[in-house]
Order: sequence, then structure tokens, then C-alpha cells
Amino acid sequence: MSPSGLGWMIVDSLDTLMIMNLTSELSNSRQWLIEELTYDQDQKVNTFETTIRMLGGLLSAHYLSTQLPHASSRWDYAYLAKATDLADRLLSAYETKSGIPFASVNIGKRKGLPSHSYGGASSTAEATSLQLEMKYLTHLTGNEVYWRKAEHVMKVVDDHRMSDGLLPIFVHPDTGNFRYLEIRLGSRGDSYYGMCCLYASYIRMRLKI
Amino acid sequence: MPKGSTRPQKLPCTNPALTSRSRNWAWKSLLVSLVVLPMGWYLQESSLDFALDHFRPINEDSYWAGHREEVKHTFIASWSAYSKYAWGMSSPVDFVNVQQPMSTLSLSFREIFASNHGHREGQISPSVKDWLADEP
Repeated sequence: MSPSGLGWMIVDSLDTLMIMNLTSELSNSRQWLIEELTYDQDQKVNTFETTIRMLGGLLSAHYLSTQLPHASSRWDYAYLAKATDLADRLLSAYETKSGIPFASVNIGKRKGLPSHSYGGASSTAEATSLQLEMKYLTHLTGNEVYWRKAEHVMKVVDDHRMSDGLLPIFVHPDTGNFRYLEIRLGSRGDSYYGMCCLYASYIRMRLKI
Repeated sequence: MPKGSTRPQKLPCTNPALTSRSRNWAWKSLLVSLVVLPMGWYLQESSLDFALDHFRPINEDSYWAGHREEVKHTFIASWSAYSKYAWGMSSPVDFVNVQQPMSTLSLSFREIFASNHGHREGQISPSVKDWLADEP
């Protein structure tokens, strides 16, 4: 458990609180977030889970606060400020020889940490499913570093030109090579294919196919 | 068959009754397939439309409208328990370190729910009321 708590459920529930118009609970959460929540803790967290739940929660809260009149004001940057702080710490996971992110990060020390298992390899699904949050943060802040780090991961896996687009479920941060030959459409592989479908839908939408 | 005899060759059927029956069967099969295949294709293609017809937009869905409040109250109950026992911690509840026995914890959870939402008693759905009344 982290020294001061990270409020996983609070941050992950912000968007639900806004959509359900639970203003009292939202107010308490926002106050806790501003006054208590700090990422300056000697705490190891999973890169993927922290990105999709904590960073994703903050970004969706920021978006909804600009859209829902009861949720907040258009000029409320509390969520975005926290999101930027967290993302800057998560960037240390991408400081690897290949650009494939480490499985974990010490957010206080801003240090990426390889997985204890599988020879330090990262899960393919986890490494490739950080796109939405990082790229949306670039869209909001104008800072391209988040976009580039996330996009580079896709380039590394794409450069392998795997037959039929099927990828093994582990990729090593040091080499960018796949580790083991096991391919799954389920755990450790699934969200990569989900991300590909999302890309395809987005491109079709843009091209109006 | 005696040694040295040759196998008799099979001659083509020249029976007019048999050839006529085969021809009739072939025509019938062709006619049936002409009817069945387009019908099968139509049913297969339109089955998706039939399925989609059951799902109306959410704002017209009376099932969802009826359960919306129930979902909201359940969420608030969960949130209230969280805010009492695990506010801001890394994991929802560290049950190992909770000194109260689980039965007491469960009671407290219901008490929180009841106290938080007593003023909304009229809005609580029957199933949630049953749950609240189901004291151990």
C-alpha cells in the first residue's frame, strides 16, 4: 500500500459521479484530489493499470468537467494538472533501449522497473494499450512527447512484420523483440487487437469509408 | 463366377419409366432449391435486423429507465462504504487489518446506506428495500 494512498477508486469514479450528478460526492472527491492526492510517493505501480485507470480517470474527468454544466467549469484544470503530473512520472517507464515501456514505475522516484517475471519482458497488450490516454494528453497540452512515446511502441511492434498481424504476448523492453512464441487473443494479447480495431474505426471515420 | 468367364458389362438404363422418374426428380430438386435458397438467404440477412429491432435507444428503453435509480442507489451504497472504510487508500478495503468481524462490517455497511439515504426512502426500489430489511 502506498504511504499516502493513491485514491484509485476516487479517481476511477470521478466520471461516474459527474454523469450521475452526485455533486456532493464529487465535491468531496475533488477536494481530496486537490488537497491530499500526491504522486510524490515511493510507490511502485503497474504502468498499464495506472495509465488506464488513474490517468484515464483524470482525463475523462477533465473532459466531462468541460462538457457537463453541473460538474465543474470550463476553466477547471485541477484534473488536467494532476494528469500531467502523473503522465510525466509514467514517462520514465518508456526510458528503455527499445522504447517498449517497462511493466512498472516507481512514481515517486520516476524510475521504470522491469517485470519480475518472464525475464523482464512486458506484456504486449499492456505495452501497446497506452495510446488513448497519452495521445489525448498531447491533444490537451500540446506537448508532443506523450504522443511520440506511445506511437513509438506501435512502430517497434509493427517493424517485426509478423505474419497475419498476430503478435506473441511478451515483448522485451531492452531489445524490442518478442519473447516466447505464445500467441493469445485473450489475456496479455487482447487489448492490442482492441487498439488496432479502434485505429481502423478511427481511420474509416476520418476517411468516411 | 466360373473360371474364364468375363464380367458382364453394365448397360445404360434404357427403361423409359426409370429415366422419366430421374428427370422428374431432378426438376423437382431444382424447383425446391430455387425457392429454398433465396428464402434462406433472406432470413439469414434479415435476422440481424430482427435482432436490432429489440434494442431501442436508451432514452426510450423503459427497462433501463426503471432501473436507473436502482443502479444509482447501489453505486451510492458502494461509494458510502468506500468513503467510510477506505477513503484515499490504495486498495478498497484492507480486510486483513479491519479489526471488526465481517458480520459487523456488513451491518455497518447497511447502516451507512440506510442513514445516507433515509431521506430518499420513497425512491429506494423494492429490491433494495428487501436487501436492507434482510438483517442477519
